[in-house]
Amino acid sequence: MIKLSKVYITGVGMTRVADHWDKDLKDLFMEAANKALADSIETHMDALYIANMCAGLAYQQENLASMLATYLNVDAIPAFRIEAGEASGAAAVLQAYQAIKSGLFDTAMVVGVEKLSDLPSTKLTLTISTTADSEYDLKNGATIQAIYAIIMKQYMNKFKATREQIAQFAVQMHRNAVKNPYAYLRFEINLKSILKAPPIAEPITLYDEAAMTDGAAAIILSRNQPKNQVSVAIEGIGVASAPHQIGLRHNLTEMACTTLAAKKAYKIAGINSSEIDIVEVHDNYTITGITSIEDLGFFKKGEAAKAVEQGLIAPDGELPVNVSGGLKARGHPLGATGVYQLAELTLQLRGEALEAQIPDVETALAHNMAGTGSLCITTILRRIK
Amino acid sequence: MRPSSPVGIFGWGGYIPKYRIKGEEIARIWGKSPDYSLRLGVKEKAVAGPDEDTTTIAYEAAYNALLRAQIDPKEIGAIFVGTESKPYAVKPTGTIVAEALGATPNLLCADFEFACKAGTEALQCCIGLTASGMIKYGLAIGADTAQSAPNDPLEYSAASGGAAFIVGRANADAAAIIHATYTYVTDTPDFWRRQGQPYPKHGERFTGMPAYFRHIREAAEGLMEELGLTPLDINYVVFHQPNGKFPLRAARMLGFTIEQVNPGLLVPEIGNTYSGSSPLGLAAVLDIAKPQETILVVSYGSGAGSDAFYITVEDAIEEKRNLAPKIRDYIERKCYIDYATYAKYRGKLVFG
Repeated sequence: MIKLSKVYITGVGMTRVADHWDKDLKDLFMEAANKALADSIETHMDALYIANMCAGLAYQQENLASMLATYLNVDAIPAFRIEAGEASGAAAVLQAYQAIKSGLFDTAMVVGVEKLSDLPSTKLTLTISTTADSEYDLKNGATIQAIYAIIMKQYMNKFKATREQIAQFAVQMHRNAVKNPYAYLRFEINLKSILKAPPIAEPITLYDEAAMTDGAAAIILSRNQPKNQVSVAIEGIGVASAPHQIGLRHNLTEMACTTLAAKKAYKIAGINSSEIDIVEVHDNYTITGITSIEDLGFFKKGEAAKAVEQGLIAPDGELPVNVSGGLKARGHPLGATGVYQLAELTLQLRGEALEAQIPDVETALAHNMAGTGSLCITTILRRIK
Repeated sequence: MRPSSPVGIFGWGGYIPKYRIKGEEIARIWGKSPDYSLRLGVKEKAVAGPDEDTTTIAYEAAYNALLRAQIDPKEIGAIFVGTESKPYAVKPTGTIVAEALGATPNLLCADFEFACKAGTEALQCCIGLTASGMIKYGLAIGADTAQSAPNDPLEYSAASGGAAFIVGRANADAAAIIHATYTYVTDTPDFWRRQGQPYPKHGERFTGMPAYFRHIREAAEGLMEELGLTPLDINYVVFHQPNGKFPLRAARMLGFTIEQVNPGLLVPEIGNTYSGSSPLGLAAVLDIAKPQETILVVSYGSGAGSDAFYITVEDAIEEKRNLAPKIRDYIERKCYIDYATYAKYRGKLVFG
């Protein structure tokens, strides 16, 4: 029987998620890539995987990977751009992981990069909405925001969750982001400001939504275990899709893709949800943060909103969720978000997350999702002693 | 930039049309929350009437400045009108104003365009021409009937109004002295209107930090550093006022207090008069400032640039102050109109 190699994350590099007015896609890419290379023992990359969702629509730039590879100054590197909506980051990592696992490559760099701050809001809204079903949802007026508003309403009705409990998720995210030097919104907000913020799609207000802007995160994957630093390995990746059209879903308060992807990842890693020490979830809206921590198996259905209110997901709670600040406050550079999650968890596992460090993190989970829950990729990382 | 000899403000004046539309009324039409415009720090805005345009506003403001300057209009050697709403694409606004004031024919005349800072640029040119002795007095005007597309966030603020200043070599008749000016300009495309387009477009959040705040800050700090001043040395500070929030945030960033900003902060009551915005703020401050007080004015024009001025108030201001209507008089003279009337007055109804 062929023993497949482990895949290690041997280097990470991030730009701060911010409105980088003076930087374009390649500047952001280069900053993250160079930081990851400086952080890694590896000096040679066999392949480059770019995670990006918007370059084609926003900047008329397809074939992005070879364009960016040009600036990396490495000869003839195989380069790919992976697009899977907002799950592009985790999807690109999966591709690199498979290639190394199979023996095709020994090392690979994955860079998630997105440049959104230049887009007018109408164009940005349209771009994001293309991850929903263009024919059945979008053209009938169901924007991403409208669909999540329906989900939030259903959740509140079904589980008697209060608006305040759901908004508390955003309060916690902002509190967490204060300690993350890579976060976009490093300030605290209170419940009142969330509830009184301009409505986007009732009951969702502006402060329920993830903050979308620029950023690049890079990780280096390798079959070689680093000798001089704590090793972080990818223990399992689970992927599942769900019906794209919202009308085909049987249950709006559960993201079936998350439930299935999590089960697969736990099975591959040989663990269950109780063994996860820290988690980064795809909270593109506060309600998604709530449903995701249920669907990943950390809380029973309908109980997460109360758990958030009780502080169970705080850094000193039972299960620290989005210590980075999450999509809400670390920021959501769409296609790059999944790579940020893994870079941040790697720092936690290595004990290098500085002020945001959670003690004794052994096992971590990242949850990256696309559209309104049509695709989910769940990745489990573990510190190897 | 310091003039080779001191330049004084001999007359100042403003004009604000009497029509007002409330932000709430605009929000009603577009299905926005009633407090939408309050979040931008704008309660209501001034709207030019059907028989008003940038030329009439410029004239009214200039006439008030002339009343305070008490000079023969023939002594005015230059009239520059800064605006982005010229009634004629080709034909100067300034010549109409000059003829109406009786200042023709021996004078320089031109219209300036630099988004919302064209008025202060006109002032800088007048400073240069008078300080050098080429002309005796210069008349600088910033005036606009600001355009904004229906249902654009700009529609809650884009307003009509203007202010004028007559400057010349300083003497005892000067109401104030302009000691120095400082300009900071870059190519920053945050707001623009292309040829033939009726309404401007803007880059939303790009209009903030890399545009307004960067240029305001650089110009203000550049001037204060050059003159060895700190915010504590200044009694009043006037910034360009695109909305009610930006000037207050700029003040905080630079270390000014709300008390230093408030006297010149007109946007909550009249909206953003584009080229007239910071000039009207300065005029409002001159209406109340006492001799020996100091003023910092920092304009902002998209595209982008900021002009900063350091001004001290002189004794002669007291005898000039009441010679013309004050900005506060115009703010309080108002007549509310509904959206339909506003749309008619501002030419927003397109027939056929």
